Amino acid sequence: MDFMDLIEMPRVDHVKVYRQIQNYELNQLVTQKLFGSLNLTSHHLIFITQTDLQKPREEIWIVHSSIDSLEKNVTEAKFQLMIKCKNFQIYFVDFPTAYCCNSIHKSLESLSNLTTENMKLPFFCQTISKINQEDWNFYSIEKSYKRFFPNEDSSEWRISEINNDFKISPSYPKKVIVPKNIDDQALIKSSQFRSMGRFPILSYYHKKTNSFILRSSQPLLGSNNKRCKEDELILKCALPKGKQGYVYDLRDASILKTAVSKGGGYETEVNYPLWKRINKHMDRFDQLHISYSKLIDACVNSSTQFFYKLDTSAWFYNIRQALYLSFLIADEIHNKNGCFLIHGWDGLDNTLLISSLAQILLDPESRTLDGFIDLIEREWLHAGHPFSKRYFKSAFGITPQKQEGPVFVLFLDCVRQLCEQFCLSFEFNEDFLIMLFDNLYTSEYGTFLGNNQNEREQLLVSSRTVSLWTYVKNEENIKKFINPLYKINDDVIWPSIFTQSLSLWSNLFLRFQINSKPNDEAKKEIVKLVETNLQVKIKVEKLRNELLELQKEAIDAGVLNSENY
Amino acid sequence: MKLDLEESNVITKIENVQLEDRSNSKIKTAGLLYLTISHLVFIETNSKREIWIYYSLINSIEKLPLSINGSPILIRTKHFLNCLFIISKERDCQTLVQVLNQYSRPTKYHELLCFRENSHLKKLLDSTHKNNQQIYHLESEYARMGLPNNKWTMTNLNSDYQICDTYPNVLFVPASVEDKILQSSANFRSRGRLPVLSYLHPNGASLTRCSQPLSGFNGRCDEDEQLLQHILMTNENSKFMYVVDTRPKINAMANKAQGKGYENETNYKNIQFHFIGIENIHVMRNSLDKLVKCADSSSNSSFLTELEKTEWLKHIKAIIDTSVFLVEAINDQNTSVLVHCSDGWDRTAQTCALASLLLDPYYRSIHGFQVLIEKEWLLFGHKFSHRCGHLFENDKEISPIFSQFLECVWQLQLQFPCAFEFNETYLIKLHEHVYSCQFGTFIGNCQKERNDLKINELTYSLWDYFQSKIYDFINPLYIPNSFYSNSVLRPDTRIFSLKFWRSLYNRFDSAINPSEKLIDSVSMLSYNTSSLQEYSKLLEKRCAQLKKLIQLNKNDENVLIDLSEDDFEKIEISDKNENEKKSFEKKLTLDEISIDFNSIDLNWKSTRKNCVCYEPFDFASSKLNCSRCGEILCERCVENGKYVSSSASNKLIFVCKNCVDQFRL
Repeated sequence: MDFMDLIEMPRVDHVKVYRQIQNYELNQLVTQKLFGSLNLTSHHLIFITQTDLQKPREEIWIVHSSIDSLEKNVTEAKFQLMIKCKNFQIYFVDFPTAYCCNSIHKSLESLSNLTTENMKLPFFCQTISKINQEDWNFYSIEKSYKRFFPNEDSSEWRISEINNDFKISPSYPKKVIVPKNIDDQALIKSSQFRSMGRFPILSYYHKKTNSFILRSSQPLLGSNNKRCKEDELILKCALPKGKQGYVYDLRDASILKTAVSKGGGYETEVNYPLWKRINKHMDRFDQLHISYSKLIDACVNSSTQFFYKLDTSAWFYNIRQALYLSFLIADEIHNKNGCFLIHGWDGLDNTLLISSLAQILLDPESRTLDGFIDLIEREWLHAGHPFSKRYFKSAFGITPQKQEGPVFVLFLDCVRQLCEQFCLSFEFNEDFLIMLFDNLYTSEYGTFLGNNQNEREQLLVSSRTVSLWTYVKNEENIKKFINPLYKINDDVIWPSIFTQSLSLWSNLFLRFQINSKPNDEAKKEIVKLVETNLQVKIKVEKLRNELLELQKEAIDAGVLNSENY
Repeated sequence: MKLDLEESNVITKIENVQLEDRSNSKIKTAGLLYLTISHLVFIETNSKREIWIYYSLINSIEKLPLSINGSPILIRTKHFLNCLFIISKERDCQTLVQVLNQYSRPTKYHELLCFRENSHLKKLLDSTHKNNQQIYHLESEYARMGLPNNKWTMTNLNSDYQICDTYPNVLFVPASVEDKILQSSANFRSRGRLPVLSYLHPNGASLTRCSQPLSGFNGRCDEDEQLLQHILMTNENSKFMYVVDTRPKINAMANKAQGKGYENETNYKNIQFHFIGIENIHVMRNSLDKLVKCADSSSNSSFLTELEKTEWLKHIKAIIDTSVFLVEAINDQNTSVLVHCSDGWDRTAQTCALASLLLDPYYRSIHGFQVLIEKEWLLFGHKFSHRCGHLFENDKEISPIFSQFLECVWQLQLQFPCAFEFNETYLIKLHEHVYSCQFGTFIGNCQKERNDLKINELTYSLWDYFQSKIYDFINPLYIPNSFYSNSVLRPDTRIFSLKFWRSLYNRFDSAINPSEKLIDSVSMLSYNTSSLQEYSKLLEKRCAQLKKLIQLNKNDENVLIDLSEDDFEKIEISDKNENEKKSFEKKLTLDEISIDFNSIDLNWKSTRKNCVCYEPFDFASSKLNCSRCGEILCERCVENGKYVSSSASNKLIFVCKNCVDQFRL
């Protein structure tokens, strides 16, 4: 299929575009009305204003894949298309005739819903910068292993390459960390007992207390209560003496029955005697999508009962629950003797959310820019979070398969809440999180393509597209993402989880509604203050050294003495 | 505020008391309760953490049903501290309730704290003059606006409060108006509060304020109508003026039946009349009650829905919206506005003060903000003692009108972080001391009453106290010349831009507030920079001196050395040479240099840390680094330290008690 087959009318003249823009002086939104022509290319919708003597020409570029939903409003007098974007921007386009309105609508419906990965934007954007293999290999399991176990010989864990051809578990990476005295054969058996072949693997090792987090998918007990000796052995071997194991099942008891009837299930305490099962509920990704849609609806159409709408969207409930559960895990791991196996259904969504949030609380490394990127690679990309499915549509849209669910958006929001509560302890800033959000849905970079490593390798993503980290690491860009007040905090951080402690992510969810200029001004001022401080410190250091040298010279010359001399 | 227990007068002590954590009722800490003449003090046995509560700040004392551990007493304060004490002996509990009831709300002004001997404040403020309240002359503030001029004049008609006892003794009115018109207008207005000038914009448009007219269903007053025409004529740029009644129309209608009401547009020429709809004091009081319950960390299930139900932010929005209306009329349409509500001392004060703050950057400075409060609130007779319940009087008079104003300012600070010289802590502390009765500033209901009480002679001024702690209140992000600081502020009043003021309503809930406070670390950074700048000047001086000393030693011939580059005078090196060398040597010894060398610590402790003396309890409590040792100090330890002015530029540098003796800059 060629893009050109989808484009009937490459250009329409005499088009009106309406959008809301911020009038900075009056600090209010005004509707901007632009006249000009609309152009369709293979990846962009480009609106160019008419040349006018008074005003410079303006261009609006909308990437097709950034369109979340299209609503046509054709009456006798009006031929209008409402374009809602995945980043919450909304445009209204008035066409001169019903015919071109319908034609453009049809083309955009197809172009914005292309499911063929090969036709996605990153494959056509190799020129934005050189493909840097180093950035594609930013994460390696060997590096993580070394970090968790500086002394390999005494470690009870090993790297297994059992999944090298993605056969055992298509959504797992090639290499995983497992208990040392479990052989690959047992892993294969366990994988057959777990949904999607996702057997228990090490997610995080807390050196300070030698406690750890494992994650997996649910065991496939079914109604005839199947068991798997090898799977039981993995959990038995993993747990050192003196530690209490907890299976953290992210489904509440009522859901477990449904799971069993569908062939799934949970670890029974009879078969896993060392492990205590705890059921904690997290809404599943499809419910989260509904929550997200309600949240954005409250933000976009805010008039009456805003706080009530915010409450009923349950977005804050989800944030609280995610932070609370990771808080409980961090508390057990750091202050008590708990070790964890986390899973829900397939271990693709909430499992990753909770394990990565717990790590951010526990591990100072994950609060640095590099450490955070490492965490995203390890716990989301390599862990097989289905990015392509979950972020195909945003808050305004959904595909018939209903695979959308903003789990990673919830993760970003939780991290932002933590950044706000611990404004000195994170090396990266809010802008970095917003940048990740934007690239999640539509990107020129290949990082979030596909649903797992297997798919990314088949697509040759690393040789055909540029990594998002290449963009981040660029000297000019990285400055934008650094928190100027960052001071390393070696402690575990304990967040507040009261609703009053949480805030609405205005700079993201209200990004096209509020004027961010006064706050940007404050951010710039902080950067300035940090720079001035650094300079005066350097100056003082220099003067101190100079004084010491002069003092020495003076003593040598015999002109400076101690008082009691 | 924390004092030393040794310095306080302890009346009685209650043992075996438990304090229950409000966010987790399972957590209880054991300790002792002390009742002093001014405070209720709880000291935890293990951590030595202290809670000090002024009796005057106590809002309610509630005895809860007996439990196995003893008698629980829930104390709520006006600055939103909730403490649940469980007292093992019933008799102790009775004593406590009795003392609290006796002290928390006296019946006479002279029993209030501010009229008592206060050794703590004496120590703190003795160096300054006892009272600075006289600095804020109404005349000088009007002079700043260019008054009197040919349009506006000052009248002494009220010099003995004879026409209006709740107004100041000087008033600014149109120059063209005769006294008898003013007199008649006062008679026609509720409580004599005739239209007078509040703020004059450079474009000629004025903001005037008054109370409702006593018009009833069809009463008229020719002179009142004339006065409005005179006000209208002071502004050449507009052919009409607005009269804004800040009440909901239905309230104003109800007043008509009592012989009061609002201006009839047909009687007053060229006015445009507007109702705005800010609710009355009773609605506001009930809304705050709901808000406090909703903020209480012990009941937190559906906070946002509860918040919606309180309607608190809706009221805040109404006040800001009204002020924006005034700003747009005056600044954008060059049109004068007359504002009133019922008596013109609640909603009128809120909106006139807020509109002035939006219009004029001067009021966003620390000094300007104090002037604004003096003028619109204190001098124009906002009934602080009634509204804050300073005395045991009618509870129906209590209402958080001034608190709402402070909250509006806080909402503005949030939207314009670089536009205010003062920070959030300033507002929170101001809120506290409006109720604390420790200072005379907010005692009484009008200027006349404060004069009668001899507030200026007998009490300390809050403004002096603030001045002594000015470093706690400076917004490090203030940029006086930026676009938003310099111009009219246009706040976003859409409901999602208004926030719940967590640091006020949950000020004492450490589990709710963020662990790291951004503004603290930014403040620290800017103090660190200024300390280091002073320090580098000292180091430069010492380096130069040493260089000269070495140079001097090399030149044994009688030559003239130019020393003008440092602060030493030219020294003629002749036979005085040896003496000079000696004097240098005397000044500069190794020990001296090493003292200098250590006068400022390069790496101050992060604000993440707490003062060694106690655990933080109050989110608004300030932290400060000692410049010399870099340690973090709490408010009480700061009071024991000292601000030393540097020799280089007289900048004040803070050092702690332990470092004071060894500090030189």
